[in-house]
Parts: sequence; structure tokens; C-alpha cells
Amino acid sequence: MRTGRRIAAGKDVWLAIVSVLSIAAVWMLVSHVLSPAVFPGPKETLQFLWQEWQRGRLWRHVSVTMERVLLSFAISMTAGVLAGILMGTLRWAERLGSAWLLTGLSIPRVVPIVVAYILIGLNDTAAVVAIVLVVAPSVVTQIQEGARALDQKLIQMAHAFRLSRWALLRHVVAPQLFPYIAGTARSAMSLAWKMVVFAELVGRSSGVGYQISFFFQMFDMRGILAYGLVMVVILAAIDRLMMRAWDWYAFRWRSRQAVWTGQVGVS
Amino acid sequence: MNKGAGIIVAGVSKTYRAASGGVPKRALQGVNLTVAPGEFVSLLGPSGCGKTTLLNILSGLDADFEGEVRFTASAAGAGPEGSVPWPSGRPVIGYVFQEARLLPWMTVRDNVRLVLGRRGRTAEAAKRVEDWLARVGLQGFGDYYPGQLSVGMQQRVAVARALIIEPDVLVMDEPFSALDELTAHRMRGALLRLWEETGCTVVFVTHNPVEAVSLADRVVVMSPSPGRIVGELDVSAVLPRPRNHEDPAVWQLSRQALRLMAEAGANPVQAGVDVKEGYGG
Repeated sequence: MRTGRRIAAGKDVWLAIVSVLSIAAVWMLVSHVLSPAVFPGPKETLQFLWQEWQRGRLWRHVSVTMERVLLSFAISMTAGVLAGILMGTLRWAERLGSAWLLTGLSIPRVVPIVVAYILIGLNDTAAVVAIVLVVAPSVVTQIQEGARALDQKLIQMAHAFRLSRWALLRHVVAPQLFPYIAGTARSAMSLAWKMVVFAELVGRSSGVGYQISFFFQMFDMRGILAYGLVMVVILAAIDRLMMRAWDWYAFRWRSRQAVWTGQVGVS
Repeated sequence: MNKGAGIIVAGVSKTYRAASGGVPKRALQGVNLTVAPGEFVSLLGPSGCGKTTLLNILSGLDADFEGEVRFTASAAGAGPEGSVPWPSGRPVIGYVFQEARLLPWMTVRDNVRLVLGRRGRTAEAAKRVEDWLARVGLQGFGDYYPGQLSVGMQQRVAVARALIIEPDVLVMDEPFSALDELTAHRMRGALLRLWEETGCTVVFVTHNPVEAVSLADRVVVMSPSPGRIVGELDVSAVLPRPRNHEDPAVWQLSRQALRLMAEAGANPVQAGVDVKEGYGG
């Protein structure tokens, strides 16, 4: 089974490479049909990106955007996981939070951004607040589901043996929630990554979103595509990294796990 | 090392409140039961008769019931003026569930050590964990994960986990019902040996009359839902230990137990009144 898996993994790598190349090919084709002056291809875009890098703009704007993303992501995950556990385990918390959650999930994403800029001002605090308001509700729903699916039999076992509250949380509850947290982290990161560009486009004078709006006003398609490409590549890299980290963690016991049929395995 | 606690269950009833609008379900109806310190009692009854409910009440998992549960110390364990020797006011209770209920992300060793709490960190505790694994026949399996073990071995881990806390009372909820008969037979032998070594009180729930009779000093028979006690068999008077499971008396007694269960099932109201079955011995 081991070797079978390894062969499959080798095949997967090739398919992944083909997948990436096919995007480049379609991009090149479209550029060729429309003419590179209207829709630059990969080559022109990468050339422009290199110029941006040499001018020092690329790193400046990307790093500002990343700071905003990481801060919003950290706040959204912390608040969302805590609220999700509460709402998944306590009936009154679920009732109390349900209207907030529904509002948070259904409000058009541009509304928190605009509202935060008006109330707080055109600054980073407002941008982060707005992104958290958009990202946190989706974290809550996913963690809530994980908390609802907790194996009550194991929790009862913990009570029967009078485990401390800390031991219950650390050894019984947390390991069951990890797959949900890992899955949520990926989707929250991706959402925060997209929202931050949006927020920068609307009301910041730095960051990738600002650059895109700048090049839009200049009708410079190369700039738009270049910064869009950078965002795609970085997010994909982060996503791979998070998956690797999760696989590494899960592998420690799940590979040796034949019988248990609990809810682990969401991601 | 006789540290078993006695149990007095007096008039215990339990009703599960239904979710909004449903009919509440009576699970236990006026259960009276006395278990002597160090005694091995089997609770025998059909599925769904409230045996597990009674165990959860005994072990303190379920505090929402009518009636009273008290514990008494053994003569050896009692303090001055018969005061109970347990710091928490309750005896230590070990629980073995129908399924092993081990944490799959922890090794066998850590699963057993976990229930020692803060005391589990010492080198002495580590030695005790190894010792208990050896006593349930799992020497050398400490580094395995539960998923790598057979169901029977997992249940052995669960037994070690329940006994390492040196329980005054060991409650077991159909612990061998998911095992094949040969494995279950071996586990019963191992359980009796450990019970004799530790001297703890055992309350063993089962729906299998042969199992109940071959293990227990006394078999207490429960009716179908709502569970009541409809009779009991004093096995130890007829079957001295060590027992031979092929002894015809085992079969005779288990047939009697089965008859008690069947009568209670066929005629739930009258059977509950006052049946104390004699036995041919």
C-alpha cells in the first residue's frame, strides 16, 4: 500500500504540473488572439513584474497587504474558533448568536468595508475591522459544526474518570476540532486574502489592491494582471504550506489508525 | 488490600425529559439495591431496560434522578466511627464502557496514564502504567495506537485504565458484548483474577445470563423498560469459586435468570411486585 501510494503521488505531481501549464497555455492563447497590447500574455506580465520588483514597488505593496491579511486572519480565527466552540456546545450561545451569524453571513461583503471606512476613517484599523467582520462568521459556522460533531462518548469517558477541565479540552476536545480548524484556516486565509485587496481598492493608498486600482485608472492591463498573478501565487503557496503542516500533524497518529470511525477527515 | 466500597441504592427512579412536546420516558422505576463492599454483582436485563442509566447514576455521571445513592466503606477501609475514607466524599469509581472509548490520537500508554491526571507525570506512575499493561496482558504494547489493536485488546486497555486509579467500585457496561466468544471468555477469566487481586466492588451490566451467572456473586435481574428489579439469584451459595464454566449449575442458574427476565417481560406489572426466586441447589 505504501508503494502504491508513492506511485500515485508521483502521478499526482505530473497532473498538477499539467494543470498549471494548461492555465499558462490558455492565457497565452487568449493574449495571442486579442493581441498582447490589449491583453498581455505571461511573458509581458512577468517582464512588468520584474520592473516593479526592481523599482522596489512590488515588495513594498505586497508586504503591506500581507501584514493586513495576517492580522485580520489571526483575529478572525481566534474570535471565530472561540465563538464557534461556544455556539456548537452551548444551546443558549447558539440561540444568542444565531441572528448575528446570519447577518454576518448574508451581508454583502462591501457593506462592512464601506461602513468601517466611514465610521473609523480611511486607515488600516478600519480595513482590518471590516475584513474580520466578513471572515469571522464563516469561521464560526465551520467550527460550530465541528463542535457539534464532538464524540459525546469520549467526553462522557472524560467525565467518568474525572479529568480536569484542562485535560478534557487539551486531550479530548481539541484533537477532535483540529481537522475543522485546519480546514477553516485554509478557507479563512483565502477569504481574507481576497477581501484585503477589495478593502485596499476602496480606501487605502498602499497595498496590492491600491496598485490594481491605480493601474485600472491608467488602463494598464499589465499592472493589473501582474499584481493579480502575484496574489494568486502567494496564496497558493500559503495554502500548500498550511496543508503540509496539517498533513504532518495528522500523520502522527492517523496513519496508524485503522478502526476509529469518528469525524476526523474533513479537510 | 480490601478497599471495595458498598453501594446502597434506595428508591431510585429516573425519567428522561423529552425534547419539547414529546412524552417523557420513564427509564427506572423505584430501584432498590444493596451491594456489599468487595462484592461482584451482575445486573442482568434486556436491552434498553435502564441498566446503563443505573450505572451512570451510580458512577455520578448522571445526577438528575429521584431517590438516593449512598456508599459505605468496608470494615477494613472505614475510618474512626465508621466515617468514610474518601477525601472527596465519594469512592473512586472506574468505568469500563461497552466500547473501549480510548483516545485514538494517544498511544496506549498515554491513554492509561491520562486518567491519573497530575499524578501521572511521575516516574513511579510511569512504572505503574507499564505494570497495569502487563497485568491485562499487553506488555510491550504501550507505544501502539488504539487503532492498531484488536477490539479485544482495546478493551483490555480500557480495563487497565479503569483499574489503575485503584477504584473502590468498578462499573462495567456490557464490556465484552462486542467481542467474539473466545476472547470474551478469556477476558472474563482475566477480570475475575484482577477482581480477586484488587478487592474492589464490581457492578457488571450484561444482557447475557450465562455471563452474569459465571462471573457474579449475585445476579440482579431487571425488567424491561421502565427498569425495575424483579428478582435476584445468589450464585455464590451454589457455585463456589474458582468456577468451572462447564459446571451444569451455571446452565441451570442462567436458565432461571432467563426465566426471571422472560416473566418480567411477559407480565411487566405483576412481575415487578415481589419476586424473589429460589434456586434449586
